[in-house]
Amino acid sequence: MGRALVTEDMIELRSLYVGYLRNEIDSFKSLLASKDLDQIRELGHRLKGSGGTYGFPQISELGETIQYLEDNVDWKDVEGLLLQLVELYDRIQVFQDDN
Amino acid sequence: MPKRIMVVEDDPMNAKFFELTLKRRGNFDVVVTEDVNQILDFARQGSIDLIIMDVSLCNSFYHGARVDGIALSRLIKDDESTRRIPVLLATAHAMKGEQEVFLKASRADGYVSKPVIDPNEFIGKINELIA
Repeated sequence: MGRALVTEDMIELRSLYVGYLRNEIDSFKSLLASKDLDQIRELGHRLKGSGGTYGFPQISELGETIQYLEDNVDWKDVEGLLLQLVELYDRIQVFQDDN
Repeated sequence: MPKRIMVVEDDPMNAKFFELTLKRRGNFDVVVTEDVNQILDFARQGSIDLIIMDVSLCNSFYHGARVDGIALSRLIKDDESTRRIPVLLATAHAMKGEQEVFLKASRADGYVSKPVIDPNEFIGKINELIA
């Protein structure tokens, strides 16, 4: 993972981004529990707009999928998207630890 | 004296990215806000050289109603005292044709897609608009 320029600025920002992602995962869990689709889409929009900036294009791709969820979505699929996000987060953490 | 950029952005990580990139790579003075009164005040004071405007804003209200970056950009372009300020729209909405729709509706001067992948290209775009 991590195709963006790795500069001192980016190292600092990436470290902040990992904390931000942790918060977004917690929010996603709450929103899934309350089945708040509008806010889940908003969350996807934020992920799409941020991941690639920090060298994590998979986060942006996943965010785009979440951003455009349809009204009649199967909630099992949304649960799957959350699991994908957690998996990506875990990989990012390993990447961060190695750098 | 450095040029001053106002960043209108509700996402803290994107705001941080814009702020650091503009300060450290572009040597710009930067103000970050999503407060509409503050945005209009700063713009009317004449001290802002360019505005980076997020399209989707969750916490910005004007006369009691929620406003997005499109409406805010229009407010700036409708005001005689602020219309000269270049507005660069920034958004993660990237469906085909949306860029043109957003630019026309907002009367903004340029558009940047999020995520911003190349900070140098981003700074270049800003320099073009304020040249």
